[in-house]
Amino acid sequence: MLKEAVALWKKERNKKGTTLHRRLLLFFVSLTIVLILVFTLLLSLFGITGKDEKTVNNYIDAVLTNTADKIEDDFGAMSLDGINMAEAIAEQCDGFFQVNGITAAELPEHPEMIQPLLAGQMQTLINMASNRYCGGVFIMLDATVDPAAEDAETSKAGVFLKKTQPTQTTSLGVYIDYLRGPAPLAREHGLMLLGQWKMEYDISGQEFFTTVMQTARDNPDQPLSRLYYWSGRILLKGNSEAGFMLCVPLRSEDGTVFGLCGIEMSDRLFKTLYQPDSGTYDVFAIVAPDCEDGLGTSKGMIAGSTFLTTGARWENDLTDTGRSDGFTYYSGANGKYAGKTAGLRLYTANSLYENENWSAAILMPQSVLSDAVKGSVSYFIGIVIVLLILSIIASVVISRKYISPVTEALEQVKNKSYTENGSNGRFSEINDLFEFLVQQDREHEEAVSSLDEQHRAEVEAHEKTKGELARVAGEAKQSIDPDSYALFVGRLATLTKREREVFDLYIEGKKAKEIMEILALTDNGLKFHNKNIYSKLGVSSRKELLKYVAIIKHEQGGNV
Amino acid sequence: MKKLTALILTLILTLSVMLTGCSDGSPLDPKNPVELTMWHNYGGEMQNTMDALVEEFNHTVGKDKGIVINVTNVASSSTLNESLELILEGSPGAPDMPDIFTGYPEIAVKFQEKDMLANLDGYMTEEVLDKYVEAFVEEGRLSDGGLYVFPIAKSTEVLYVNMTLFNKFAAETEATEDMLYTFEGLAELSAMYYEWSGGKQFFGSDDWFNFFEVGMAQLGGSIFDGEALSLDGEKFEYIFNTIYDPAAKGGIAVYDGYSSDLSKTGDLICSTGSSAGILFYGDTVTYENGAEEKVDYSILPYPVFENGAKTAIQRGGGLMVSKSDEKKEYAACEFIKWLTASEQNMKFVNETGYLPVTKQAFEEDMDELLDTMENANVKKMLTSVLSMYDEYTFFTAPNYPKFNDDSSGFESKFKELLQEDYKKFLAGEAISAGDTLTELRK
Repeated sequence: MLKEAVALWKKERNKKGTTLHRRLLLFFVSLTIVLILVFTLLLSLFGITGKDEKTVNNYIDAVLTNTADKIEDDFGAMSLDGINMAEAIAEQCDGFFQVNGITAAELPEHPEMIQPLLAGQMQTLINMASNRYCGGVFIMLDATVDPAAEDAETSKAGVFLKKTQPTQTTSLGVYIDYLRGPAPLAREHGLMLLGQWKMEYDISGQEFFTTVMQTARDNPDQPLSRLYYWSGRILLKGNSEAGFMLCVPLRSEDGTVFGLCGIEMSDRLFKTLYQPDSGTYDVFAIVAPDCEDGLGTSKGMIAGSTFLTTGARWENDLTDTGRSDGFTYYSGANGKYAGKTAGLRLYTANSLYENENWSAAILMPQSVLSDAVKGSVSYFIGIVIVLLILSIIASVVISRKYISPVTEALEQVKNKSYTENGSNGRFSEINDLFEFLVQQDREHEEAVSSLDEQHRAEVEAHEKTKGELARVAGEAKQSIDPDSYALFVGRLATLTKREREVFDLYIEGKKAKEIMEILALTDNGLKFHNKNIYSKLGVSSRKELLKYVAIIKHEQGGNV
Repeated sequence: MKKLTALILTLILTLSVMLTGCSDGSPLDPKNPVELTMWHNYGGEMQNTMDALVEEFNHTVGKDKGIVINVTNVASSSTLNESLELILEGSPGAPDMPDIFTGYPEIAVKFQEKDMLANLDGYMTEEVLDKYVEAFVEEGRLSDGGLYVFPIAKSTEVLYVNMTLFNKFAAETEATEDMLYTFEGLAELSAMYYEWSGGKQFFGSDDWFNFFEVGMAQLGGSIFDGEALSLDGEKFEYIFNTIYDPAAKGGIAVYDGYSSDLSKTGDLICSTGSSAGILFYGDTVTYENGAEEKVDYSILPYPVFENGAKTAIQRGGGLMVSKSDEKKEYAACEFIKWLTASEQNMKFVNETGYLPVTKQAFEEDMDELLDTMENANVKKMLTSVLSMYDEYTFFTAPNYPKFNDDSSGFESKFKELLQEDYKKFLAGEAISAGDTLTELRK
């Protein structure tokens, strides 16, 4: 289209020559383009066009800082609550053991005591579930109601209370369901058995129970604050929702570790608490234990726009593939991601799990980041194009407006319709021009009228001469013999070319000397031609010849 | 010059179109997806199915159109109802109202009265609505004729029977399977079982109000008198008396929770409950000592009072959309259309035991589904329910503002009175059906 426009413009220009308007327009447009290019160059030099990349960077930084702080605070508070709950439950259990005359270590041999022992802990669990954000609270005892069963080794008695609305903590709207535990305890407290209800936990293939129990047993002198453990994301066997499990050992007065209790940070709770605001950029938050190559997302939890995070991703960890422009890049089975990562402190100093590193990350698919940056460039180009179009329009309008008095003035000059004050006094240059032209016209008119006068006088003189000539010719005609005159006229045609040239020069009034010069004749040559002319025309002298010529001229209006 | 101006104008127009993009009439923008919160009552085993469907939507249609569904609450219908009531009342501490939620028309009436629900008619063309079973769509229309509850899945009530335990009982008594088909038979069996088992309960109902409501319909009456309950009359008394004795004397469980809770521990042999509750029953019974027994459940048609008509309830839960801006309402309806389309509907049916709502799924795809269905319990349930659709008349509870209060009020009062009488019975105190009935009618 631009090509066509240029071609059309050239054609027009060649046809009529460039107009002032076009020339001015060209200057304007060139100036605009140069200014816009300089503007673009400056923006690029100062990195303003990469604004979105910086904004994304800053945004992710801010979200990460907030999220990581919040997670550390929340997990810290949850750890503290878990420790307090473990201490309270252990104390209540010690009381129970004392009343029933057994030690904590003897509990596995007294399966009949498990239900009453758990019954005594129900209110503590319900209170904890009701008063804090959590996916659920639980107790797991290192004992089973049926020690003789084949799966006794992996079947653990306990209670798991599940919150269907994990963030409800007031007395209004707290709903607790029963996931694990003896059914009569649920009925006593009016709790509904979930579809996945089982009486006991099946811990086969799930290492967290053994890890926590063994570590606590190996470190009897350590306080609970150094023994609590955050599991990676676990889906309890038969459960429908996974979560991180805060596990705190249950330690009796005598040092026996007889089970654990804890609080669940469920998928839904995590999503509710840590979902980044997707209004600005579509990012998601991940909390996961570190793994060798990057983020252990197979054990982590995620919060954010669901369509960016697939279920399949959980089966794989994210591999750190490098850093660039402040972003960390990850590659996973389901795609590539970019964002930022910060280490999390989930354990106290000197904790036995101190070496377990966790990280929080705010990520987005790499394609989304590229789009965000690309998008800003397109936006910028769009703005430049719009600016360019507006400038061209402005150039057209301004140049036309500017040049119109000139073209009007020219038109007036062309039509001679200007007056001394032709531009209404608006433009001094045009006024001067018009004044000048009016003055010129005036002088021209004066010159013309003087010339007319002169012409008239000359015409009068000419007429007078003409009259005189006619009179002389008339007189001459009367003085000559009419036959000789007729002979003269008749023989004119007999003159040779050279004779005619000489004759014509005589008619023009040239003298013998001049004729010799013009025709490059010698004196004798001229005399020779004269002699021939005279003899052919029947005259005897040049005077007679000129007399005949004058008569002919008079009669034939000047032509011989 | 004119040509040049025209060229410039064309250039400007072309660029404007390029810069502004083209619109297809949808208020959605895939680059800025609208996020919708959702509450549903498809918990437990059903949650995986619903989660998978939501996930699938978010990855496909949602991604293309710019809609993200975020499930923020999964709980039983009654629990959801309580939360929704808090929202309705604007109670302090009430959760934020979800954009999409499941529920029954009864709660929809209350929301609609407060102008808090979106009328879905504006977002569903005739052509779309024509794909659904007409009666199911009509159930979602409230008093102003607008469609506020969109059908997603239907259920009725059936009788779940732990046949393993029943057979043990029947083998030693005069109990027969025939007796499971009438309420009179169930009452008799309950009394027998209580004696035989040494104090265990035989039968329970998840919803005693439904029991009376449907019972009245079976006997040709109605528990409703306009927009109020009518508990007078011989028919009501007959129903009450049929179950009173075994209920007050322990054979029938008048339990606050779901009957499936009791069934899981072998504390109940049979119960009437929603056909969609099948997944809560499982296939084992766990005894107090932790021992588990494999059991076999039969799903029988909803029992009928002797000489009564074969009538069962049709439960019309559906999806509701909060009144919001056009973008959110439009997005919610796009999700609902997708979720209830035949393909997704059948997936849901296959794994949950609900009945589908599209004509194609209900009338054409079901037979094929039954042939290929893997979940034996769901297959048993659907077979039973489909046979009921051949023989039964279905009753739908009326929608009026006080319906929830009336039904739940009746339910609690009935339970309270019967539980009290059972305590008296255990304590050896005198109990009287007449007195309790009079009390119930107050």
